[in-house]
Amino acid sequence: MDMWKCHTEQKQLPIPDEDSLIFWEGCRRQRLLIQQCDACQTFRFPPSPMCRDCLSDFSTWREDPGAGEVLTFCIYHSELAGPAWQGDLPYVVGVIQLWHSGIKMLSRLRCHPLDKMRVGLPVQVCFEVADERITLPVFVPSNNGGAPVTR
Amino acid sequence: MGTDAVAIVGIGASRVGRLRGMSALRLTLEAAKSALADAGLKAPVIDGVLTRNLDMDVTYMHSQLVAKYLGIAPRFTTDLNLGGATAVAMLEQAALLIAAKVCRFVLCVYGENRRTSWAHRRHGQIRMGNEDFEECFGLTWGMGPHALAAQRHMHEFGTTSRPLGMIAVAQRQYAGLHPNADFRQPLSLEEYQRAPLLIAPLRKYDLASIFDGGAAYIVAPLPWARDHIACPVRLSGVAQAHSREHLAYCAEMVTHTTTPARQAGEQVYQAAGIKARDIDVALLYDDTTYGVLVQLEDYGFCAKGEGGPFVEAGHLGPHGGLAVNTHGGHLSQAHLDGMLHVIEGVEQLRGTAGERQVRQANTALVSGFGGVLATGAAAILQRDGV
Repeated sequence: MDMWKCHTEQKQLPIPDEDSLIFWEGCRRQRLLIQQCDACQTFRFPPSPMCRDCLSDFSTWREDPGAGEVLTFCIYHSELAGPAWQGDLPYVVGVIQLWHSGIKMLSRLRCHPLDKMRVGLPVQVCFEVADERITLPVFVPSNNGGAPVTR
Repeated sequence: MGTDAVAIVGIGASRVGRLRGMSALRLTLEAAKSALADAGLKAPVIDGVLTRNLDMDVTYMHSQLVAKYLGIAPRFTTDLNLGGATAVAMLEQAALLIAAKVCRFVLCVYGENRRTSWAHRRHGQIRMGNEDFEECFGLTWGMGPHALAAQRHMHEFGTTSRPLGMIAVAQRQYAGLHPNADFRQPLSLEEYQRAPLLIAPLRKYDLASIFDGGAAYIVAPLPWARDHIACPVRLSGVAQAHSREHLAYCAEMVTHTTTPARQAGEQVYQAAGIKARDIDVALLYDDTTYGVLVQLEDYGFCAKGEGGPFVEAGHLGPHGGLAVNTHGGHLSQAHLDGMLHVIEGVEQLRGTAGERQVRQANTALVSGFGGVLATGAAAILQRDGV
């Protein structure tokens, strides 16, 4: 089953590149920054050079409050996660729909107990420092039960 | 070949030189956008995308990634890599696609920052594309997205693990009848349920393993086949469909319970002039049991959301109406990225499938999924002369 694992001994952190640098810098400062196309106002994620709806290469980074809900999730229980992840088992990965920008984000879901996890669970972003360069955005159940933010 | 019937209608280039801070993707997209503008065409009109893969940052399913970022869901897309001959070879490939009436407007594009690339940190490793926004959260390539997709299907339609287990059990039965299969020991539904959850909701026997092996096929004109081959197997239709997504980021892909298999299926049935009910044997690409279940829906064997009840009613297998993965598939024979599904389709139609033989097998569906569930490809094979 090796091909399906993260086979590395250590967790691989993101490597910011020309297009994602600002996103990762935002996370380092505990801000969730999502690109919005200047021409057609469409939000997009992950970061990319061009809007795929209108091909404009002008965009503005907007801060998203980080509130949303779980669309789906999976729970790792096994050696399939790879050697670097054994200490984290069991852990949850899910897709979160952010209410403000509307984008879908994949991330870790920190949820205890595990059986509280469900599709539709309202969640909120929180930031975890991985090293001096990278802070990861992960999600936790909302305290207040959550509600779509209208602006 | 005669290429009189095609013309180059648009050209474009990015800025060139020493361009620190410009990713390969940005350079590629700029060039494509410029060519589109020159031709007076909008991106959605493009139905063929040809690219050359990157030297500095070899990327999995690269042409699909470029199509995704241009908002194109192409009818046909592939990477070519003939090194320095690629630029001209792309012209030939484009001409072939247009001459065969597969595509009308083919974009040929290549951009890279060989001089100033930041990708050297990954040099030597193929980039799957999911490293920076998926793998860092512990989502493993391939099986992780299947688990996410299966959970969504369970939420929307009430699908349970029982039909998934029945798929695993049936395919293991078939593998037991195949002389060249890796996992041949019978599997019971109880053993399936007892086996551990590996990536919930998927269990051990829901997932294909990895294997070694090779497979090949040769395609030739039908008249030659009729003159020289005892039982020609005709390619009656073939299609591919893309979801505008790439496995590099599966968040959209796994929350849609309909896959590109649906569009590939519609196209291929129309091309062959048949319907789903005409299929005698289906060789469905199977990284997971969930992949099989969702294809039963998307290839029209049952309605969307009904895959679970369809399997539980006993429609699969030698005593049901639809024989699926009679070689055991990836789950039990061996995982060779769908090559053995083509081989098995031909064996069934030739009547050489031994103990696995489906009676009166005249029409087969063979499918592939690229990049988890991002690209669906389907072929209809038929016994010639029937």
